Amino acid sequence: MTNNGVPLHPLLIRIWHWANALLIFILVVTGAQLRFTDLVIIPDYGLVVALHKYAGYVLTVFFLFWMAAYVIAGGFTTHYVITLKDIRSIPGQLAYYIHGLFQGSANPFVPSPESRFNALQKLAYSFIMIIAMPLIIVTGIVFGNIMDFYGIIRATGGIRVLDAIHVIVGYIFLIYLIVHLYMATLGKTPFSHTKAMFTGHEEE
Amino acid sequence: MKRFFPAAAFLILLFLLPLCGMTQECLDCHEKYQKTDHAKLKCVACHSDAKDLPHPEKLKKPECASCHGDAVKQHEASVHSGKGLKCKSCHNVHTPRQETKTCASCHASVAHSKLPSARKHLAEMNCVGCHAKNARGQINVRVELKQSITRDVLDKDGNRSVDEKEWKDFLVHSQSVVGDGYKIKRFYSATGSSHAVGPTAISCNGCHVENKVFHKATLEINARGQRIGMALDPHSVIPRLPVVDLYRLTAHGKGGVACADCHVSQKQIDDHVCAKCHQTVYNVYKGTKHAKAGAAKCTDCHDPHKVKAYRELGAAERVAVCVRCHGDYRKHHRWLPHAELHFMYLECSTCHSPRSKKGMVFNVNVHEKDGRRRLTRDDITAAFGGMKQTKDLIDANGDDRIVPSEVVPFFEDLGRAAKGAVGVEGSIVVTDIHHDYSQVQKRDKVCTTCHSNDAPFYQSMYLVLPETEGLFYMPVKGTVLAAMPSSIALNFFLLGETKARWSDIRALVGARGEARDEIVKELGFKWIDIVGVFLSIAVLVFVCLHIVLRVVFRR
Repeated sequence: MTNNGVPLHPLLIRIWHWANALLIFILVVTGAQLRFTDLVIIPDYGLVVALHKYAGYVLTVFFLFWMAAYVIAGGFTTHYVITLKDIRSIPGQLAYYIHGLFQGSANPFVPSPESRFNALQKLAYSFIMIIAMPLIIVTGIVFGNIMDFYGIIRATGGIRVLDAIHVIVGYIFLIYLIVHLYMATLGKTPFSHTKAMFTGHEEE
Repeated sequence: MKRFFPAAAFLILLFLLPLCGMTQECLDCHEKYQKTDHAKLKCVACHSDAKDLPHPEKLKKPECASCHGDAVKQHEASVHSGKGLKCKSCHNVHTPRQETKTCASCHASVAHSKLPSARKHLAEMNCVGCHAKNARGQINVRVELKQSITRDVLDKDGNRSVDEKEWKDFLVHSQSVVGDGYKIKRFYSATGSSHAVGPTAISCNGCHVENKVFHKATLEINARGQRIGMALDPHSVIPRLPVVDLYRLTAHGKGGVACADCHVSQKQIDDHVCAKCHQTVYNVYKGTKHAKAGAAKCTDCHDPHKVKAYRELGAAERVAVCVRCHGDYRKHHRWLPHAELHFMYLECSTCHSPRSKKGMVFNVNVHEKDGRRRLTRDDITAAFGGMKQTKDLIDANGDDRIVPSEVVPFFEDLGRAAKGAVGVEGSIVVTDIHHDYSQVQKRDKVCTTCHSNDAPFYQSMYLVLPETEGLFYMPVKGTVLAAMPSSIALNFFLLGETKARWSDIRALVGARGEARDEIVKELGFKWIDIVGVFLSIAVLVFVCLHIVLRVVFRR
């Protein structure tokens, strides 16, 4: 691996990203088995429950770590908050993915340390990290400790509603994961984005 | 006047002095009487004809009533007086008080064979507590807690007294929060005059229904050095005895079983009495671990005086029956995820009686300001009038199956008329019990026995509704209830039943017209899976298409 190119991803964020990737993979697999018990991926159901529960707790710690990293290092507004300029760039970015990419056009967005994500990435990441992640973490913690949160569960519509929120966000994560994995292949070469997430430097 | 008063007082004391204590002249002959209970009195206080010495050989009988008027009056009305007993039969005033006869002096071996729970009663009550006509008592309840507690947990309304409901809530709190770490000791002390012993003891109803004796109870809680004292409603700690009127409402009473059919003697009922009617069940039970070890009689688990039949009990109530002996059940269930939640909705037999048939029952409750209660026939009458049976109301087209278009309006109308929110709560219970619990080692620790679409109780689901006579069990598909608004089906979660299956998709695609509308409603929360899986596949297809285009355009 080489360190040539634009320095894009700080070391802490890279560690967080790959740890998160592993956790989300475990959570998706165990979550699918918990949801559809006919689908036997890991034979020991008790282990599936424990893996899902504790992977969820570790994910929570990593989420707090991610928040702390941005609070300490700054840059949240730059990388995640959508600006007017971003909104204006959405049609162009969409056109690139649907049409321009196949014509050999250049990506209208060039990542830099000051602005890592294009408008569509910003939209997806900020939705995932600010809305979906807290929702799935909170509902997951409540699910893991039903008796402790019994009053809140009743007041908010019962376990079915809690389950519904957790599962809906679970599906959002699954769809996001499919799109995210595919989008990672849309760099200069199919693996250049993935490489950048290891080395921290995006090829120019 | 002021100078005259001390002089008068001195003269009065001088006059009374000879009446106090025994005089030396008497003791010269009657020295052994010096230690009597009445030793403070002068002999002539009772023996007025012994003023001059030597006194007549035969003295007049002293009048006890002149000092002990009330006691004599009580005695004269007592059973002892009727039997010819006099004061001196028990009290010898010339001997120390310790030598006064006690009940046991005459009634040394009273078997109390007709007294139910005799050992318990005799250990906690003295004779006059039951046999004196004027007995009055107090109960002291001491609770040892291993965790600290605040007053408001006990005394919710802040009136510095714990009523029956608050006491029950506290016991539930102790069970759920403190677990095994609490002890309750009850001390029943009733005192009455031993002179007022009646011909018969107070009846069972006297304490257990009318509460004539114990008018006061105190509660003392020691929680890790913290001490809380409070008044307690005595009813809370006196078990209620079923009266005849109440018995008529029980399963046995409704079935025409008369008191004497079981109570052939006043002795405790043994299993053979139950076996007279329940022979098949008894034949299974008598060979089981419970019966062989002598651990449990039929009546230890099944209280025939309870208004609710066993089949009407919810899961938590059934757990409470087993917990009477298996108080350490939490310790043995540490392996079980969400153990407390399971105990709320599953009875022990769900796992510990593999040969029993299990079912899911959905009880309808009304949540009012002061707590939750079961839906009654009166609630149905208030909502729909009293003309129709409940079955005809919920199964409007009379096809013996209920569909969302019947059940949802039924509950909505019910909710509008009820004083509180109407909610359906499910629990998994044994519907057809096999009384063999001997297969302890084979108990099911496999989560997927229940947490799967193939769980056995999905084949046996009932909505329990009050009918004019008793309860009515309407077979129901879980999906029908799952289609109900979450405000009604608040407190249940049908394990696998919220998850979409292929059969759901096939049914949806294959149905037409009204049938499809019903399926669309029945799918309820399953739509999350259907939409979620569809979108995931659609995105995958889009991605695949994109890859194909990239390959075609070599990008």
